[in-house]
Amino acid sequence: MLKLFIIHEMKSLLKTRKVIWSLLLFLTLFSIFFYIRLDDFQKRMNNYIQDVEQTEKQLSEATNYSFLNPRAIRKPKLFSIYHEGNTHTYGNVINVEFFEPILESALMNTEYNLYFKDYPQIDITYLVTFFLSLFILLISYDCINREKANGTLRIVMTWPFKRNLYLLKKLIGIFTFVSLVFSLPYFLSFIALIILYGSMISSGFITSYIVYWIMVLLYIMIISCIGVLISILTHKPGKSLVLALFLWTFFCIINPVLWRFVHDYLPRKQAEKIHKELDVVTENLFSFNYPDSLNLNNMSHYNWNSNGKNAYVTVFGPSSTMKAHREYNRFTMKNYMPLVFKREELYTLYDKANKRYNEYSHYFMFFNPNEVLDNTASIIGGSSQADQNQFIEDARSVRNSFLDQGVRDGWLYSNEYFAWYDANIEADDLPKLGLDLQSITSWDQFYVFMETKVGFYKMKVPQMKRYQQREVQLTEIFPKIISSLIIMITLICGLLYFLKIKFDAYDIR
Amino acid sequence: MFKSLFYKDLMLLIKDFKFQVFFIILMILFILSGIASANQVKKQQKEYHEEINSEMKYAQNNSGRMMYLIANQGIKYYHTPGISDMVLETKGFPTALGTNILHFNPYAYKRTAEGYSFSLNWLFILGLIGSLMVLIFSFDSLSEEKINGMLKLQTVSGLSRSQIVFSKFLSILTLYLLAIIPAGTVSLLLFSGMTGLFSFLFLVKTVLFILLSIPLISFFILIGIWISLSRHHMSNIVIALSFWLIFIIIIPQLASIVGKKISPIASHKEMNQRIQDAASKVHEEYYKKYTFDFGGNGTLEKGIRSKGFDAADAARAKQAGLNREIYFKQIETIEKISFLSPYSIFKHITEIIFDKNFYRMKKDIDHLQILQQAIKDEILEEDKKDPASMHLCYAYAEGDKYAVMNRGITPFSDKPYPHPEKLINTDFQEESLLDKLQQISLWLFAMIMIDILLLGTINMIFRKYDIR
Repeated sequence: MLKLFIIHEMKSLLKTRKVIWSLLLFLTLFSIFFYIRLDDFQKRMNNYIQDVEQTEKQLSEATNYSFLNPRAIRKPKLFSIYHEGNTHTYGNVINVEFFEPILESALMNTEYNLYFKDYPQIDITYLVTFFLSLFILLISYDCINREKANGTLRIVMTWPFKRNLYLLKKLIGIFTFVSLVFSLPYFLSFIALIILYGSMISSGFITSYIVYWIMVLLYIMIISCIGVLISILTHKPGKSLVLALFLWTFFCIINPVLWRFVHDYLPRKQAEKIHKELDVVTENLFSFNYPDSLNLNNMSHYNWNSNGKNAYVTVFGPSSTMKAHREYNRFTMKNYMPLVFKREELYTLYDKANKRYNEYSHYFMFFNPNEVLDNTASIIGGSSQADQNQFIEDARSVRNSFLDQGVRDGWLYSNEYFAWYDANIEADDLPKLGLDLQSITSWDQFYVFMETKVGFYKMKVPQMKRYQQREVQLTEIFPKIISSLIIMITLICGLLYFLKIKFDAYDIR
Repeated sequence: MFKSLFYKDLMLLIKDFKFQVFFIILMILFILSGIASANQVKKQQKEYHEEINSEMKYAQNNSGRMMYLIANQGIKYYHTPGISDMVLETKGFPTALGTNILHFNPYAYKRTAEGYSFSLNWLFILGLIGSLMVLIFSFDSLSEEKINGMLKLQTVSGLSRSQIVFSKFLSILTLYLLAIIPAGTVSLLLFSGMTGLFSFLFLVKTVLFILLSIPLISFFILIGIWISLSRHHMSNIVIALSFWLIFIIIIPQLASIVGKKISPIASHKEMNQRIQDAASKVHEEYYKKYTFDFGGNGTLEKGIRSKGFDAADAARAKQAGLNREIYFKQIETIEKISFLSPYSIFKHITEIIFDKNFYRMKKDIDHLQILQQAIKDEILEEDKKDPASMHLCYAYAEGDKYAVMNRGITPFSDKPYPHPEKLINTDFQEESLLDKLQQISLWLFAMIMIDILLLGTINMIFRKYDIR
């Protein structure tokens, strides 16, 4: 009987114009949003390919070790088509440079307007929380009280079945209808992705796709329960419309705005304490001085080009100068790098402490289901704050292993690090090769001599530890989303219980 | 007769449950907005003063030397947080700009959060909630009266159809003002009381802001009345909400995506590369022509090295200026597309009245350029007075000083800059209200014309409307 009721409910929904309008609007928006996300994903993939190509090219063209920058580049995740998360908040590239702290990610080949930072939050999660919830409320706000107003409820209640069955009919009918409305385009989009990006469909993506779908179904159930409850609590359809719209406005607009206001005033004593320590370390780092014996500005150079602190360097000069540069690196590793590591550690601790409330917005004011879905989707899709922190940690791990390799293999403290033309030739050797520096009157002469008389230093890119992107694993995400699952299931059970109590006492006349 | 119809419509709306709910919501939101904005402004002012003091201290302690100044220091211009943040915040645009001293090249020194999240300010309350409120009141204004037979009675009582429509429109508009004005007053009083900030000019601007919201609100009222003329009144609410979503949410958000497609920017790397290439080209030309005199710092007195480096910096700044035009073009394209939504037009008008966002940034850049030139001229004048200076004005003078230090001279003056406080600027010359009104007059005219057109169209449709 329930099955018949549910089919009957779904058919009657399809007969109403408002449902048809809502359905058409939702499907149109789904198509538009999906196309926009697809386009954005393709752009990001193109940027990623360019980023990787340029990085590999730079590595292969490195003339000495200081030019090596095995960047950590994050590949766009296919699931980001459905949920944006932090995709555009943070850059996808981390430069792994010698002696520089790794604090944030950056952009390389991505389009970036220097004067205006914006990225609309248009994704499928936004569509679900903003539009699908409205759709559900609009079809359910008068499902019971309109039948009461029309007088059909009295007639239906004369049939030989319990009140609960009627309630279930409404609830499951609406839930099944909306689930199909969402699942159909969702499934079709999956087919589209298989056709377009079949090679990128991984186990991680399938895990995210299925778990996300389950979360959305739970969300639909919650909103359906709310819609039916509104219909029971208010006697007039006009009033229930106002209440439904108020609740929708509250969940979608007012609650997030209020959360942003409250969020700024939540206690952050731990973050403040860490920040004070971070300020001290940063100050020490910026005011770090080298001893006079290593003041490279006071030394004679034939060539000294540098882009960074001591990265992308080419040096050539007398033996004493070359020795000073080697000692400079040694001094940097021993005295400067510990400050860098400390700064990184404190920066991460501060960032975590400062942002600890960011993904707990659903605990604010009665577990807003929109926020629960949004925060959970970020974890499911691997685009949460924790994933960004992990990306930075992984890049640091690459940098540290790179430095360890340099120390172990010896090139970090040798001429090979900053070699210009030949690591084994020092300026003192030049007269032996027939060069009289006093006779040189132009740089071109010097270059010609260096090219003909001295062998090029053939830089061989060493085997380095490279960044490996982590895949989403069910065993990893499940413990993180279990609290959200419990919240949603508790909300559903609570709402169902409340619905039963209210409908049992509902005056059907 | 019209008066009594208007009065009746107004009373019915006031007694309606919808109005009571929305009135409470608006009151709560305005109160929270006042408190939130007050706390936000106090926090921003505290941070702002700390930062300004820290920057001033740094400027006075570290950049006293003019040679260091032209190499490593720059000029910074900060927005002062103020009461206008209660109406509209700066979103996505810089709140502080910086530039080098030698060549004007403004960069975003401090930037606010991304542009599309909602904030608890007056624009949000009036623009979003206010428009939703009037739409909810108007979407069934005529259809409801048709169903309960009131429409028939009104037409036989000697009232013209235009008067009925106009009465509906005016009553909802009056209701909107009745809801907004007390709530807004409470918010303003709370804000001023908590921050101690108040100015007559700001009061005039907020009144103007509420008055300027009328064309936007009228648009939604008229859309709602038009929808209520539909035959299938059960689906009116869906159509009404669709319009609201399209004009308030979808168009502004899609404008950004479409705008970027129409006016794309090359990648971040490429834009930077263009700047580097412009400088490198000059370097190469000088290097080829002058070799050691440019490439080395042993013959500084010839002035070739300084000239070359300065020319390269000028080329860099020029290319950055060309890049800037591309960035601005994209922002303008996004703005133009968003003007399909009257909400975006209203937001643009608000930005002009309260000097925010893109409108403000353009003025800031002009102001910063005047500042930069004045400080550069002053520094050059001061350098002329220094006998130990070689008067070579280029950014790399600080790096090259070691080459001539043993001779007791410096490439550029190493003396302290006499006015380090000028390096941190917060002045803002606001235009007169009349000038601002002149600037927004065209937009206002456009919105009013749209409203008149809508009203005319509704009247035409209603003339043939079956009221039975």
